[in-house]
Amino acid sequence: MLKNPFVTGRNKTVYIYVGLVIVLLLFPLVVSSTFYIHILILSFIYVIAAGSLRLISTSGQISMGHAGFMGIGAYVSIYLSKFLGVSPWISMAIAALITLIIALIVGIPFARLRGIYFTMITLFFGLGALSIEQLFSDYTGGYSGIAGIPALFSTDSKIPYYYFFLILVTVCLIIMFRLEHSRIGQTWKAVAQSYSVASSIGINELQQRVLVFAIGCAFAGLAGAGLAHYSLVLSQSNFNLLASMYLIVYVLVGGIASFAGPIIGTAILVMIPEMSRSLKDYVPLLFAAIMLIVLFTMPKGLAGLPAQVKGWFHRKNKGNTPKEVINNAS
Amino acid sequence: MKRVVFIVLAMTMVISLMVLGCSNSKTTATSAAATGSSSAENVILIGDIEHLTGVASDQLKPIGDGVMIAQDYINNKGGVVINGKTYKLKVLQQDNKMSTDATTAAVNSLIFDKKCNFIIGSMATPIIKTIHTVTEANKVIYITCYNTGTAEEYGAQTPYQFVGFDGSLEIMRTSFDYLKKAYPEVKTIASVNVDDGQLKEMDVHIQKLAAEYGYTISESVGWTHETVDFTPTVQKALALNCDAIMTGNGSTECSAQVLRIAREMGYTKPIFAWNYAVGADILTIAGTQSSTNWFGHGMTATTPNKPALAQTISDIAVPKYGKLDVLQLAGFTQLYYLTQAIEQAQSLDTAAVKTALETIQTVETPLGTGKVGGLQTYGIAHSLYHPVPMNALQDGKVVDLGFFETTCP
Amino acid sequence: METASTCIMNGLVTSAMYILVSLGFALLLSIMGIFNFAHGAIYMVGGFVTYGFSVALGINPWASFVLSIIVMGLFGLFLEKFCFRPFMGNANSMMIMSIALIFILETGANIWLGGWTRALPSFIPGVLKAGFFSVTWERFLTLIIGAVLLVLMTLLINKTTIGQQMLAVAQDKTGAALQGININRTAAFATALACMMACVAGTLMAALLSLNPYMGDSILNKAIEVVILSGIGSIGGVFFGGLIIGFLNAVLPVFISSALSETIVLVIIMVILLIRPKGLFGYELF
Repeated sequence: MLKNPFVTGRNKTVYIYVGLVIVLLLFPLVVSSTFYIHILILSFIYVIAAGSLRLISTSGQISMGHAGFMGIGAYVSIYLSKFLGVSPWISMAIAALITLIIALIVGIPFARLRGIYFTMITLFFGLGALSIEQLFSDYTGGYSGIAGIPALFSTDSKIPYYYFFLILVTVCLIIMFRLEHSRIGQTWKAVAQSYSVASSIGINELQQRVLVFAIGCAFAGLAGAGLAHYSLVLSQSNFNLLASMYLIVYVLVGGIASFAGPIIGTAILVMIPEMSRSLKDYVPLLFAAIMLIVLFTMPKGLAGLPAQVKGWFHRKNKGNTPKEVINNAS
Repeated sequence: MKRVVFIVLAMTMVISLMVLGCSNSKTTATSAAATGSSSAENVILIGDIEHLTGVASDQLKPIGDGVMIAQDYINNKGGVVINGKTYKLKVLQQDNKMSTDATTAAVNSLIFDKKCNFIIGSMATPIIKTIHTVTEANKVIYITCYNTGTAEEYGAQTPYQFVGFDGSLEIMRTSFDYLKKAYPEVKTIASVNVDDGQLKEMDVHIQKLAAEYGYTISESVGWTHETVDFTPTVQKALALNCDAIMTGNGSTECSAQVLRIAREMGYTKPIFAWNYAVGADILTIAGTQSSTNWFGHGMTATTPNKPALAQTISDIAVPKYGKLDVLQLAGFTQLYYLTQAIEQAQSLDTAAVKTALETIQTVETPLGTGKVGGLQTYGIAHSLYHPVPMNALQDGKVVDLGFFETTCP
Repeated sequence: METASTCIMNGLVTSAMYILVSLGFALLLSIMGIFNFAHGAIYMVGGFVTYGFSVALGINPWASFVLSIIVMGLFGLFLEKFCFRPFMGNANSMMIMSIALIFILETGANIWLGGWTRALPSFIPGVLKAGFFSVTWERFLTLIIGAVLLVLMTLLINKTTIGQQMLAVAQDKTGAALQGININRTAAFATALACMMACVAGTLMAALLSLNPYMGDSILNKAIEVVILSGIGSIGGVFFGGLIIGFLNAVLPVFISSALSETIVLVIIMVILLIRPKGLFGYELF
């Protein structure tokens, strides 16, 4: 009898995740380099953003304005904490909430567009959000950036931030995972497969798409606010079209079809270029090289690599080729 | 089989590139840990964060080149002598990629992992702010090569930050000085300045300075970094009907385009740039027909009567980089100022060097003798000011105007 | 009156600039279904190639213009065969490919050619004055070439065999193949054409503005705006999209601040897209 692949597969990946979290928890005790702690913190923040981007894509929508929503979250939180004196912890939460509301409001007219048209309108929204932020440069600093953002922790050490963002990203990823594998997540995937069929079985596909978009953007807002209160200096270049493109690349290179995709993609594409700093001018070429390698050799992205490698061995060894099936059956 | 080979090869390449990248940083880290405060190898580690890639890096890369020229020049001259011991400079140059994330990574790596007590570099405001957030918190000395003039970028709240080259307000003064002499008929000036969030604050400085000289300057005509065509900007400036137009921070492109478009629209009055703008570059973009009645601050390898040090740098830079750029001198000076202060302090202790940077009476710069000042203007006297080269464009040709003294009250 | 005539003239020239840059992008998007993010980078390379021929090698400017168009056409063929063909139909892969291309082209240009201020000298110096209107010859040239290229492209798509073949491939690849159309050759032709147009745009803009490795980034934004507004699927429609965005960008900043005018343009585009997602003249091709 064939073993049920779903059951065995899922157990294994849970162990991998738990193991990873344990390794990350112990990491600062072993490695004292602030540089590595910093790029890990950045990875955590961008994993939240990339993961939420992928969450939106489970409903068949690709958003090219995701960095714009990060920016909204960041600047709202900055305004609340720096200019109104609210504690950064509270302002982060409020910022995520406000991003959720804004995403709901714009998501309703956006959801009427499908496919590439949806992508385009989110692209323009990202550009537009940045442009509006530039108008209020008294509060956003515009292109030259804003400094003196209130910090989450009053200590200069990065360790508290590390553990905070590790916990945050774990919680966010668990929420995203549960959402994706819940009934609502199934409706989203149904909507992705076919709008008309999903509607025909009673799913309000418009509502669902707005919902997933808003939830995804809320996470992005949270990530943006987190970035603001960690970096303490932000410039608009963190949230422009290029930044949105980076997020999409992280998700695509990691593998858009799998949950682990954005995690792996972000980790590799944030950490490797930073670790190879001594290449100086050539670092973007390294980035492009990684992208091209994954593109040409891994159709399912980096997350699909284990399955791909297993596939090669299966073909060589035991497998389900017709000859073998006949041999085994007789 | 082929696929496996390909993947293995590709992975090897990526991993070896990574290892190459990491190992370089690791070996310097271990040697830093070894030398650290001990003088076993007599090396002073200086972290340098520069614009090597990313937006505007094509204009700002020469700063990093200048730093490396300074390192070699000082080391060849015999290094830095402290209490009889000779120290060599070792500059660890990192890329800021015009991104706050990358800059934070770089400055963290330099301060905590490589144990640098001195950081230099970068000219763009968001990058400077990012760096000083970390250096101030850790009491690390940070010397930039430019200063836009805004409070958030530099001031009394950044006691460990110094400016190692003439900043925008110093250059603006020389522009007005020269304007008064060369074009005494000018009374009103239209200001064109980049709208990058600092426009309002810069206008306050501009108005104050203009009032000192008796000029009337209107609110700046702003342009954003997304602007492709500057014609509407120039139209707005021309509509103000002023006796002169001045362009400022932002880019050589803007200064050149404003000159070109204004001349093409028939404006014949003087136009000038109050930031670093090399005449030859402006000429390249604006074309010979429009390049007249313009002046700015810059020099090239062919500028005559250069101070000796500038000539030395030119002799190194031209064969190595193909040109002498005023920004190379900026990069050079920010490091040279630091080493002269270290020699005055005769110590590598941060507090001592900081005091030396503040109290040093004269500083040798490639452009002449420099002094430290700026208490009235910035609320803190941490700005090195020195003569600045000016060049003009007349009838499609570059005219070197010489070197002008600056002031920094 | 002078302001009005300057605004009109400038609006026309800016529209021509945007149309020039957007034509190649529109061709690839509408005809081949490829969202070529690297269009800005190719535009930049085109400008640098012309610079290389005319300033570095000293060849006559017009001759180097023609030479670089040929070179970029060949580059387009190379692009199609090695970069686009394996991923046709797979939008995600195409996105990664074109973004990787941006990094490669820009970094290459930065390492090899960065650190210098460069621009192309004007092709035709001087100012043309006619009544109220005054425009430099260089801008006028851009206007003329933009208009001519637009007309040529529309005629190419609608009236020639190869144009109809491209349309057929865009609508239904299998069907087109069944009709005997060589898909690969059509795709190669379209990509080469798009690169050649990017080169023309890059060269003319290098003469009007300047050359730097990152100049493609801001131009890409404008190209996307024009093409999406005009509608995916329409080449001739780029005329109207270009006119609207060109005039808005040329006239609004004269009266209000630069930052505000950009916001207004984006809001207008979003509103139009919400009312009419296909854009002004688009139609569903895929």
